[in-house]
Amino acid sequence: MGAVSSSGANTAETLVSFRAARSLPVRQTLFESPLDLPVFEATGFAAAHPYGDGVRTLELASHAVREALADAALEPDLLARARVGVCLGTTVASQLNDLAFYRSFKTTGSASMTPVMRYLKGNLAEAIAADIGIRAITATLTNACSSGADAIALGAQWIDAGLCDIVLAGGADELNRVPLCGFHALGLSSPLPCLPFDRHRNGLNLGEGAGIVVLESPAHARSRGRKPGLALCGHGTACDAHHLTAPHPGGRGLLAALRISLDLAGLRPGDIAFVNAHGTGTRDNDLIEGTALAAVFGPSLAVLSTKGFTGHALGASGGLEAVFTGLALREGWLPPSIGFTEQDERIPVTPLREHTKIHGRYAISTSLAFGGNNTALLIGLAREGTP
Amino acid sequence: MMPFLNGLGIVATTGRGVDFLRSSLQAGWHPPSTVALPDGRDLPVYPLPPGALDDKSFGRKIRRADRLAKMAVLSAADALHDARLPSGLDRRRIGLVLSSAFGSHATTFEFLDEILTYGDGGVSPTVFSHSVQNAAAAYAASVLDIQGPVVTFTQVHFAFHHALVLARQWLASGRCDHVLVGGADELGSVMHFICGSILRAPEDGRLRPFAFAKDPVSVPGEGSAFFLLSGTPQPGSYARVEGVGTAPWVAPTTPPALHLLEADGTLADESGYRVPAASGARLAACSPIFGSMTGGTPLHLAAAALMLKEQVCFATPLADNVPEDFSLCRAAAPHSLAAVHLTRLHCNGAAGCIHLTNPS
Repeated sequence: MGAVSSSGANTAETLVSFRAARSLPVRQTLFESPLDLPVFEATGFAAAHPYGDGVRTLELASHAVREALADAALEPDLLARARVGVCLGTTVASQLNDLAFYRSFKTTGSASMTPVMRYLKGNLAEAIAADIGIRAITATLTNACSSGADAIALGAQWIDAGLCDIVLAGGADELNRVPLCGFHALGLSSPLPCLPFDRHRNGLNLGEGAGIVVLESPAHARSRGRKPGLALCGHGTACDAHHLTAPHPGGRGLLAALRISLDLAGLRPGDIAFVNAHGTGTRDNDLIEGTALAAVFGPSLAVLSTKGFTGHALGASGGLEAVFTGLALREGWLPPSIGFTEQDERIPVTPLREHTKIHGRYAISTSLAFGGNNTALLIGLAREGTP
Repeated sequence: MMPFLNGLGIVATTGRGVDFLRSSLQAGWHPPSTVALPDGRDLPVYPLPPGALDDKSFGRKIRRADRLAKMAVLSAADALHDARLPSGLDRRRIGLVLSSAFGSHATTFEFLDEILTYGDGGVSPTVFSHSVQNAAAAYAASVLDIQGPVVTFTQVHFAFHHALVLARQWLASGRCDHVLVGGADELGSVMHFICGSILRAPEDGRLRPFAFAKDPVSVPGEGSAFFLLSGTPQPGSYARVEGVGTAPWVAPTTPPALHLLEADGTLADESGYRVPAASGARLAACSPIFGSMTGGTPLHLAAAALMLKEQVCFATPLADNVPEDFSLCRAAAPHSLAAVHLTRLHCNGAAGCIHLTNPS
């Protein structure tokens, strides 16, 4: 696994931040905007390949991919011999949203093609495959805020279908002026640090980062004597089919996604030790998500949102939170759900207020997105001999 | 799992629907229209015909939808309708996958315009939400009540091939009973400018898919095509998807009855198409009909599926550059087609291939 976010430039630093319950929202510094909104900026990372201005998302992804490959002990010669896939989710990196380019076009009728060529060559999955020097199946998935989680589910399906031995999967997104303006316009941004699931929550803070997992078929892992500590035991995805930006009021798609992930893993709700919730801090998301989680797992579920540590990293969030879920299972403890202090009596689950020991082998990470996408990733500690 | 293409919906420069597709393929090449670029040049293009997206049957559901979303909704709805599935389907077991090379760029530029015009704090929330890349798929899912998995791929190369692979996997794993899989790409004023800047337009408006040129010409097009993919055939199935993948090009084990090349001038160098063209199969190309679209595979697949279903080879338009030793469909005629192979090349040497067979 590899992760870079405002909580740290790698998984070790992330654990230090989680242990210290350290949250560092800042006034954004990466671009000019009169909007005074707290954001979570990633620092301390460096891509092996400098992509230049405007493709920060690639640098974030490249950095996390390298950590994930090292964690999985995957050397270049081994990758060269395997059937590899690169399946990544993003929002910003999929759009040709260069403001200077558009300003020039609008005012002069002409513009440099440099941003266009950078975009054409900068497809996230293709660029990462080129960055690490492998020939791979590459796909860039753009399911808004569930992109990273959906990319991991897709990677698992590539392995299940026998297309790949190894898939680098997850999500990456940079802080960018376009979504900053857009979420503010939608009335979904908080002028204060976000308060996921709290009674006084009033919106999200944007963040950035990359969360990458290395998925490997059991047969391939065995062939190189590898005993993975974690397994993707199930995944479920379902659409609300309701509204472009608002979740279904009954949590229809999320309920279906949770149940499908449990069915695929052959597990019951009581087997789940905790849920790392999407928990953005918006009024609607947290109410509907909390209600759906209680409906499936009961009100005593151990639940947290890590958005108080990282902000909402959009297409990266599903990847980051899958990594955080795996880290928690591996470490055996959970950080507090930063920002949650006062119970909202309409939300029937109570997020963790302090560090908590984990009792169990399985956990779920949820992602909800624009367009009504809902995805649940069920991650477990691998049993000896059965990754 | 080798699923069946049981329904087809298309909206392109040919018009909306299978009947317009058939008549366009029968009629052959027609000259492109032109748009004026800011520098005064004319750019030949193949846009949707006027009124192609006018449809009041969905009422308010797509009133605010942008052009790309309307294309996707209409073609997906037509594919579902065309499949004539029984009523009472479990909507939780229908999935949808949308592919696009560039996504909703026109709305993205509209949002950038909002920032420049009204400032960061004055932009439209509606425009922003429509600029998100999965908005078109979300509209289609909402309008058609698709409650299964819904995924959007946005990438310049092979997005549709990945969509088709995923759709097959959902059927094979039992996650879905049916999957709407398709693609959509649009033109717009900024894209016209980009195409006019980085592509070479033909002076006579003619695309030359068999020129195998190192500096090919292109005529940008737009459109959307969707397919209803199922594990079992319906009466009126178009084709069976025997294979789909992206890899260095390898000739099919059994030469297909027809090999459809997607050469359309969007690669910097199209000489690589000479290799699959020399595979011995009868050749065809539809890019002079649809125009040049990096994400145009679903449109070409629609043509291939129609040929298989109706057992007819439509003449390749603009066959004036074909080497004499190549076998080409030169006139529309009934033809016993057991299989059709589609090939689209990537500038990195990879090929995206789809192998269809006669469903019967």
